[in-house]
Amino acid sequence: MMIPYLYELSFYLIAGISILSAILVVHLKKLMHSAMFLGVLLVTVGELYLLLGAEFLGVIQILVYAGGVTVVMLFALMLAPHYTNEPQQLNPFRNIAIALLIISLSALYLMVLSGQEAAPPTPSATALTDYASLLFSTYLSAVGILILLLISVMMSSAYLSERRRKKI
Amino acid sequence: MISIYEYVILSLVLLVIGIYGLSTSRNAVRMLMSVEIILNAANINLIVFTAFFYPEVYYGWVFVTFMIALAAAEAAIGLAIFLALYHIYGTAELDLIHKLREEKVGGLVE
Repeated sequence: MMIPYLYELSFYLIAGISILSAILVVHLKKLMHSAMFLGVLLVTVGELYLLLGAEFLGVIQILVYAGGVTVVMLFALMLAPHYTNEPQQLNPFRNIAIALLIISLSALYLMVLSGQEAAPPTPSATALTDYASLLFSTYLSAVGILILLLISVMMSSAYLSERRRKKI
Repeated sequence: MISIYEYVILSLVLLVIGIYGLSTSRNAVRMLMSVEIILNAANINLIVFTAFFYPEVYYGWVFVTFMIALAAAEAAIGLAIFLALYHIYGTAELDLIHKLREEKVGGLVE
């Protein structure tokens, strides 16, 4: 069974969800809710990467961005009790975020199911090995600099977050 | 058919929302979230141009990898700085932190 415009409809659904969650990130009053919708936005952008043939980067986006950066932001907000110790009333935002996530994931599934070839030419079977050899031959020095940067970021954030002796 | 224009327009809209949030928010963490939105808009552009125009070479993927790593590093160091600010000043609203500002703007300071 072929439903016409299923591919386009699903794309517009994913794009609309990402734009809506970006607006909610900017506009919501409580920062915890903003961080939650930032997670939804990052997952939908990762779905767009998957659609464009960059499967590896889509997985990295969901793992590192939606899994790492969002959780780091939530931890930072939890360590600042000013932003979290308001009385917890029953809020609909968590359910809205979960619903948006489920809708966007099922839209991705519908796009795959629609059987239509993706608009851009699909990358070749050796795309991942080509990408890896490009990354580790031409850009090897950049990768080395990136490793040094990540180590220094780790050390400096540990230094910055140690307990200060006295207030300035 | 979804062409390149839809993706670029989506990226443009995300960029505009990110700039709006960056310029209107006073809270440091929300500014960091807006920066993440802007970086994601740029990443969408890189992936789209790679997929449509250079399907055989993957320079865009390499740059997106670097940008993801740099954004993670930026989030970690930024949140550490904001947490230290919060412990010192009791707030992370950036317009309430004016330790370095002169008492009378434009005037002499005794």
